[in-house]
Amino acid sequence: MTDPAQGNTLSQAPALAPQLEARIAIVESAAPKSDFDASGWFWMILLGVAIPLILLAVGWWA
Amino acid sequence: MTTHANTQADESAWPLLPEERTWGAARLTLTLATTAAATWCYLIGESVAGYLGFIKGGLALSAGCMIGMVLVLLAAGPTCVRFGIDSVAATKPQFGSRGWVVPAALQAVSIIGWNSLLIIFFAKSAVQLCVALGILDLGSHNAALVPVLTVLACAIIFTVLRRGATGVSLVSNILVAHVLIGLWMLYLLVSRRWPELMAAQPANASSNHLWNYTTGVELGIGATLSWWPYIGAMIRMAPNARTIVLPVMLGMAAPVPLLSLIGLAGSLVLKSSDPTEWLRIVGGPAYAIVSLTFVTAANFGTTTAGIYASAIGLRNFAALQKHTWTTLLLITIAPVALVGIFIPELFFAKFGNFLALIGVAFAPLCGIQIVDYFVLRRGRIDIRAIYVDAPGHAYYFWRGINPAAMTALAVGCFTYIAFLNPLTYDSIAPYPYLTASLPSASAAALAYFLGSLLVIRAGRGAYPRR
Repeated sequence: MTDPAQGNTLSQAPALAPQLEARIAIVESAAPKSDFDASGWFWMILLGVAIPLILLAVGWWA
Repeated sequence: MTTHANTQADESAWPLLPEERTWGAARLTLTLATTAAATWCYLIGESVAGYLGFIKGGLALSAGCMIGMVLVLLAAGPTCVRFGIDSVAATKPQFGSRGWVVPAALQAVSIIGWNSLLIIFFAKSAVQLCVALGILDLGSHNAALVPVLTVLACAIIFTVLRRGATGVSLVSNILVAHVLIGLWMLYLLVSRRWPELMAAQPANASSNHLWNYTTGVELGIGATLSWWPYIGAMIRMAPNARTIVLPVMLGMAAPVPLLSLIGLAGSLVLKSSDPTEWLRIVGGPAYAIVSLTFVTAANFGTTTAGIYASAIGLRNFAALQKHTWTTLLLITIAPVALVGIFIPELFFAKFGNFLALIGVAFAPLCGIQIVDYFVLRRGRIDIRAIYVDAPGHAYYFWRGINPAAMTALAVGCFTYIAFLNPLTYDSIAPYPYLTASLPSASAAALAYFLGSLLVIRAGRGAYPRR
């Protein structure tokens, strides 16, 4: 998603290498509008928060 | 887009195009697992063995690795995987179009340091393997072979990486089997020495059991936070964020505590974390040969991935953008080779302290990136501005530097050291309840948020309006 700054005055962009310019143009139009989906958040919360919390509880009180 | 550009895409810091991001979940998992499964796991396990027994050590490491990994994933993951860029390029929205050199320096020092350690380990284990196979005799003269083998390993890595990320993936496919061999080594030790393992007491344990457990968790968090430099270069090869979560959490975070159990068990029972030493005792020469092969190969795989990530990071420097991939590889490998040739023993002796200080910076770095992406920018990144360094542009801030990020990084580092001195392990009262990394990341995130309010008020940084 490309949403540069409303409220930020951007001057004319300095010239990028033509290959980079073309590459950025493609990526700008093709980049996904969001990052992690519901499944990704589920696994992150399960593996990165819930299970560690259980392990912490086990270790602290066992 | 030219064919040449497509071919060289994975050798630049430029964003990758959708058709170039071909790594699926399985390939990414294999690559990440191989990257994570190196000798450092034994050292991590050995560190935890100073404070915890086998069961609690394993639980603490697992919790810590999962927590650290989710921090890294949330920090670098969204920007890297959406635009196909590496970890360093993803810091420009926070640190500025010139300030990114600070995370780049952290990345370079961290990866070069780790790789130097691994390449020396590689050379030493290769010498021992030759001895075990009868190719070499026992003797002090074998030490002279370490620099030679270091150079040889660097030459092989250079050759493999001339193929770009394809070379990393190729090595990973071959070496992932060695993760299973590592678990087999663990099974041998656990099955043959279980009573001793359960009875073993950690050597440096505090009388405060909570402190011991939290230190085990902290070591796990710290270990996985140091994956930050690696992760961007790997996940940018995947097509979208949906593909990366399970590979990162299971492929990179899970093997570390599993393989660290080898070092943990070895340290507790046999006072040595290195399986190349204790497998001779437990299983005899044949097992030693297998383990040496594993260690040699695993270190080679991880070093290859690390050199690749470093070389990609160098591409962000304008002065290096026009150099060939071969030149970048040489610049990246040279320091590693020099350390391995001239000061291998000294580097081994001082490496732990050196790396501990480097690791202090990655927790606040993650905190800054997370609050920037999810809270301040709400997912809005200007990919074009990441490649522009000129006044008035989105990430130019002031002279290319965002003072809010620099200040927040310093706040986070001081917070970490205040909670836990990484050299002496002196800590303050809240540490056993909070760890050091989590307060450090939180303090940096808060400092960055507050500082950014001033930056936004000044009209810099291209933050979206609320």
